[in-house]
Amino acid sequence: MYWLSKKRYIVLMLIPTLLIYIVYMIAPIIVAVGYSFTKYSGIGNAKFIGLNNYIRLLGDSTFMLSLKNTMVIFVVIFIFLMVGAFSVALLLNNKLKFNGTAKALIFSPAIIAPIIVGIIWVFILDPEVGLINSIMNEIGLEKHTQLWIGGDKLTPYCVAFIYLWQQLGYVATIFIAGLKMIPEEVMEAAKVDGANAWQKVRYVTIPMIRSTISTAAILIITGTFKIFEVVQQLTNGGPNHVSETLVTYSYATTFSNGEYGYGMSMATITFIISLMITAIYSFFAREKVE
Amino acid sequence: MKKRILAIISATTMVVSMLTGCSESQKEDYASENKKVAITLGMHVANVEEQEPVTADIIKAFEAANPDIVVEVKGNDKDEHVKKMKMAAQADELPDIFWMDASVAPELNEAGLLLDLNGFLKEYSEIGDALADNMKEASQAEDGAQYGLPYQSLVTGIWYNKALFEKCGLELPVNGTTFEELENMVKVFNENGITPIAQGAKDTYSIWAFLIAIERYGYFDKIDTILAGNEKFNNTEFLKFFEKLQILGRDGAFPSNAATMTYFQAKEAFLAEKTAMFDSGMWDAGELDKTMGVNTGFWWGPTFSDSDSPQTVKMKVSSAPLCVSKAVGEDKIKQEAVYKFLAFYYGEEAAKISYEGSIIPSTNYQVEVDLSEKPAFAAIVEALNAETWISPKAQPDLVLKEAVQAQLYDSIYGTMLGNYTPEEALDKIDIVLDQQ
Amino acid sequence: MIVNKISRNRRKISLYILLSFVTFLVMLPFLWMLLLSIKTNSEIFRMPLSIPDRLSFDNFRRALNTLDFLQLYKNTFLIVIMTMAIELTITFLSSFVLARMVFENPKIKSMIYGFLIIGLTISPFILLFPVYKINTIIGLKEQAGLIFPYVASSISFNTLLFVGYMKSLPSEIDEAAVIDGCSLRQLILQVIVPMSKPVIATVVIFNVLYIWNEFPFASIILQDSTNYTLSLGASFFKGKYNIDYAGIIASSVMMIIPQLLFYGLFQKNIVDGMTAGAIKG
Repeated sequence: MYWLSKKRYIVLMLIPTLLIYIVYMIAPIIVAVGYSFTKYSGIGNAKFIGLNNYIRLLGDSTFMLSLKNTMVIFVVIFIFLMVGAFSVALLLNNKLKFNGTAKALIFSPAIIAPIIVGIIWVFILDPEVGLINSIMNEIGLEKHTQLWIGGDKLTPYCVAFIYLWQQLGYVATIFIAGLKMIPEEVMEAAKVDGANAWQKVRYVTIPMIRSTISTAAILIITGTFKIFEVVQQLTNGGPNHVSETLVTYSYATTFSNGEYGYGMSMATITFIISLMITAIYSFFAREKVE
Repeated sequence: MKKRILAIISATTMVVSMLTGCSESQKEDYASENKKVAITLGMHVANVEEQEPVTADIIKAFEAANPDIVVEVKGNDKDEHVKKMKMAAQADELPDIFWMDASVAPELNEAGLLLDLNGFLKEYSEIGDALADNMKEASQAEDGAQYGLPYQSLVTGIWYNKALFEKCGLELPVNGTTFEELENMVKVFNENGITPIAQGAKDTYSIWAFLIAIERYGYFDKIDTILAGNEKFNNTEFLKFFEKLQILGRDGAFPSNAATMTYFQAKEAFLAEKTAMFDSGMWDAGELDKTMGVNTGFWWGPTFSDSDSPQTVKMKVSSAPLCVSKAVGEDKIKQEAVYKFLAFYYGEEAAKISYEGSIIPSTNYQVEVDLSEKPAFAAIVEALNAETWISPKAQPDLVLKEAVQAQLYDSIYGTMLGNYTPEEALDKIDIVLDQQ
Repeated sequence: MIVNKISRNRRKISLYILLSFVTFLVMLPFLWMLLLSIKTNSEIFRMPLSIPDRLSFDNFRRALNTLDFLQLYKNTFLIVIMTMAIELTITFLSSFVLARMVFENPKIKSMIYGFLIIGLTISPFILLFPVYKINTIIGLKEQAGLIFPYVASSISFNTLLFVGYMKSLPSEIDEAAVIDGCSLRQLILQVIVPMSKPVIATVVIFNVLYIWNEFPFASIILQDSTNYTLSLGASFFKGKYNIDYAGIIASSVMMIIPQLLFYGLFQKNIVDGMTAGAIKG
């Protein structure tokens, strides 16, 4: 390979990607971060105000609440999606009939527009006209009906659950891909050694697909911090901002309140948090492999 | 090597020019086709035919009367539209005429992007006469520039279901019905298992009747001093008003799921006769006529005995303005076409089309329209005829910047839903105001 | 022996039950949506659970009348084809470099890789405003203005999958090719591309669906409604003072079904593509 790796080939083949990436991804990020140091309504000229937006964030209780909600969503999704998708992958990795059909069906929510996902779930979770509470009323569980969305507690969990629903098949597919790579002989050997099902998973499967797990984890982490449409459709951050997430709050600030600079300071923080969690995760994941 | 890069670049530019080609060729058409002028109109709904049928009809009538002018309508739903216009402003790509949020239009004007329509009003003086002063003042800058004209009249209040009132043995609300009487209605309706007032908090702006009520506590007497920083939102009069909201919420005046309801769901609840009253405005008259008909009544909302301010407040004000892009002024032919369109839009024929479509235009021509088939719309027209009742110069939220406006909505709903105390709610507005 | 077989059967049955249960749970929201799509607006809000008295396709008729599906699909596919052609070419080449070519300084290679992956963490909403400005500066609008943002936002994901997959291909292939006298172009086109079919299929599926569903950029950049893509369709049912939920649901159903078919056709490739692609991530 070395002979073909001439510098000009390398440069020529990298440049188109780098160029588009820099112009349409990196430059916009820099511009957005730049605006976070200004007071700007989106019209006319921006006024440089230094770190004021960031100082204001510290005293903004809605921002802190949306940070908390986002972290709740993240933790719930991370734990349940990793475990759930892994279990589904193990289940689908059995040689059962209809496996292919089941796999396709379980995957299907991942291909639908997030806006449509949001609309579907509004009609499931809505306290008045939604499926869940309607069924509970019908079968005599009136007392246990909940404000699934629109109350002050449950919305983040519902958002996490919906994401779980949407991504379950997707992440499971990644795990299945990893499981397929484990050589049959290894599993046979474990069986001969008398390992039970749990021991096989714990001491053979998980260590063998470590890098798959970390890919899945990174996609989940980065995906979680981009959830927007579902929250917008469910509650639009309300009532009174109690279900706001970092993305919805920065969106509302930027586009509905016309405070572009302030909104971008939130977006910048969101970006940094997501980057940091990814970096921390990658760091620990790597440690363990070695 | 260089040749290859050049080849790549020229290939890319070819693709790009292929794609942009169409827009350039359009421009040529515009020059070559004899005098057929195209003007663009940016609207706040995606589907003008369906959602703003009156505007669609006016445009059709205008094009029929002016065969040399074509109106190209571009629309998006409201939030997308405002976002898009802000971006288009950055790129000098604003449509010739466009609907704009009343709180954003002044900023566009300050940035020098809007045409001063005083020239238009001078040329077509009869239009200026047909628009009431508060309609024109709503879109005037301090230096007197007329940066927009009201799209329609904004007439808001409370719709009520006469049959449900009668069923519960309640008197129908009239001009002057007090807050105490409203409290009684709330009590009686709740006893009868009927939700008193349909409100959908998910659309935070849907608090029109309460924006009338806040003027009954002297909103426009105070707002200039407040905005100048010499007074707070948290003052004794506004506090009294917010305490009323708290009382209504506590007494169960609103649906139990108001927090997750959208304005549209609130409307559905009212149309389904699940609620007795509905906070809304003129735009729903058409739909109400179709479903509830003669059962529909209209009311300006309760009056308050503990306020020092006049209680005879109705609400017929400027809705969001139609603005004209500054660039239009640089193209004489286009400007003439735009002026013609505006003259038609604010003319008598358009007013008639408007009334026929159950929309009250911003102009005040006396037109003959048969309202016998439209009891709901007739109710609102009749309410407007109360001569001693006065409209403020604008809807209270429309004189605030977007962020303050959003906080005002949030505070009103927060108090109604019991999430904020009245003091908290008002303090929140003051905090946001400080940051502007 | 017999006992063993019975217990194995029992295990199998319980696995079937579990599998059916999970599948049913995942499909439930779709079934609910299908039910809603044949109800009227007022039925949806007044009697959520009821089964409508008669099968009515009014919502679908209204959706078809309101939306020009043919035009929407045409617009969407035009953008899909242009975007896919550009992004597959450029990201495949750049990933080939990162996966298989030799750098004098390997650190630069991993830096470029990391740099290209960062994009995964970006929410598109941050980029709306700046991207619009950049489009204005370059002079791109309407469809042409959408293609490059779409290409840019696919780069991170494609790099992750392509590089992972290509790294997993044995390095002997290259050496054998070089010994046979292959040029770089021949190596890529005749050896690596055919071997990468599964991962290419996976990338195509995900990116086509992404563009199909993408809303934020499309809503900002497309000005002319004749250029609208499918995802903007829902906005046609939303006025300032009224929303046709039943219409939105029916049109969503009509958008989802072709997507499911498209996915069904290609889904076999997804696992294969992910297999190697995801491992080395």
